[in-house]
Amino acid sequence: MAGGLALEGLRLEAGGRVLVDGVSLALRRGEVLGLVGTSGGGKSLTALALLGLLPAGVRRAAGVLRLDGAVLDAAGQAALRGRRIGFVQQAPRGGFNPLVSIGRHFRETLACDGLRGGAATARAESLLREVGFAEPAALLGLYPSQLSGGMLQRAMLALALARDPGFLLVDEPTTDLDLIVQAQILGLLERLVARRGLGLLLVTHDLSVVARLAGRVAVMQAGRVVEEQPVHDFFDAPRHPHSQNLLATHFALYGEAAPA
Amino acid sequence: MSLLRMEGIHHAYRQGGLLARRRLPVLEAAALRIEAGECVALLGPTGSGKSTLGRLMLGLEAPDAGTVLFEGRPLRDARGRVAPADRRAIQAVFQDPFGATSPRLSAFAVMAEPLLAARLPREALRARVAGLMRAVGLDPAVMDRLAHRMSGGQLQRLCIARALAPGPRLVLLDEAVNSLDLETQARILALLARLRRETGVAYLFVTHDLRLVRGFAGRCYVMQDRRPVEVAEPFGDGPLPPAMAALRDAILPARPAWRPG
Repeated sequence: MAGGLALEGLRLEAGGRVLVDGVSLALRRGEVLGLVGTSGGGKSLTALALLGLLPAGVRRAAGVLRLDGAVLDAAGQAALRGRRIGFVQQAPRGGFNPLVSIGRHFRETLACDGLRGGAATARAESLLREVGFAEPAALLGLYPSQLSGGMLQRAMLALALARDPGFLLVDEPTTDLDLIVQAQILGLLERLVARRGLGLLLVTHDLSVVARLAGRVAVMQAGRVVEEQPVHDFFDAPRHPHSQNLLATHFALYGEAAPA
Repeated sequence: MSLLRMEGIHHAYRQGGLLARRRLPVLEAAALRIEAGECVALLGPTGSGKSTLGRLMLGLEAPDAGTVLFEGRPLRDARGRVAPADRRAIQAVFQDPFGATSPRLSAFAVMAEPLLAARLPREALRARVAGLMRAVGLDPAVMDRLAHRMSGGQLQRLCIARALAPGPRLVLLDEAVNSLDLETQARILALLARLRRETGVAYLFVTHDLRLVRGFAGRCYVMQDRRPVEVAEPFGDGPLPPAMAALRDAILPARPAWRPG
């Protein structure tokens, strides 16, 4: 199990109800793992559990998190957040403080590593350039309300990468964006994975996003992983009935029948 | 006579704060028509003016210039008011059902609001709400629970039921299924198609996802240079307006491409 982030036997409970049970996932550097399923299936909770960011009332009843083979306790897990694992959520506007400029968002994050002043500004600009902003200096003085959804999501990616994490969790990163902006963000994610050797966990309900980016696919239903396959095998020969249903709905969008 | 006809619409928004003088044109010489019982798709990327056109259709705003005719009559009178009967006849379902309902209201209260004008006795009102909930595939037993305890798909069904409650002849569906997961999306679209067949209501289906239009909408417009342009065959081989070609190119392939490694 060396060389990656691994979750083993995760079980989450809330008020006596089991929300996620027996979930094991392994994410290697340089690889994209798509986590798909209907909403309410436990995809997002699993991602939050990886970060130790479970919502109030949800308890981790079982499960072990390993980084490069070493088991992490709660403190070790908290230390991962931002430093080793970056996180990007669905609606980018909710992730920014509307009263604080983009530049200050970066300064705050970069100060964690002792980067301040001119060095922090230079680093913020190089990160923003990496996510495709041609003139990052102008952006730093702007407020989140002055940016479009697609620009904010790119800025959010730059922030998530500010501390050079080896892994990135993205939860429905393009669901609120139009298809043209979605294509740009997915292209950007692909380049980041290749250039930085990131391990990317891609949580989504959209199988076309998985087809575009993922190397492996895990399907969740009712809190369990019901299938995990390389992406081509998944699209050609899904094994679980839930996966088959998802694919049938997906292919119907394209006006074609699912493969028998 | 068309159900709705918009002609020569110009509309601009002020840019850069309250005191700025600069105005950004959103619609220019825009025209659109919807026949009774028809489902018309309006496509375009974010910021192309789709939702503005929808707001004008609902009478929420007056255009800077141009006319909006509903059943042959101007939608807004000289003082900018929409007649109550027309307000009931044109309804809307928006993208985010949680933003479109109050977190304090029960499902019943959400549904009852558009029906209050009819002054039904309490029991008749509850029966009517139950009937509408069943029509959209919701269990009336959850009527007295807080609306926000429902899932996104269920709450969107409730919003559809609420839009249909006053018996509208036109419903604006503004990205109404875009934030739902694939299966819920397909179920809601099937539900909307069935309700259209049963009630003869017309839809303006606003979306950026061309895939959703197939088999759902009869006619299709795309926003090109600040006005809707009708496209006869969005999936055909013929020439397309550039905006439509861009939307079609942005559709991701259905299957993974072959990738080395």
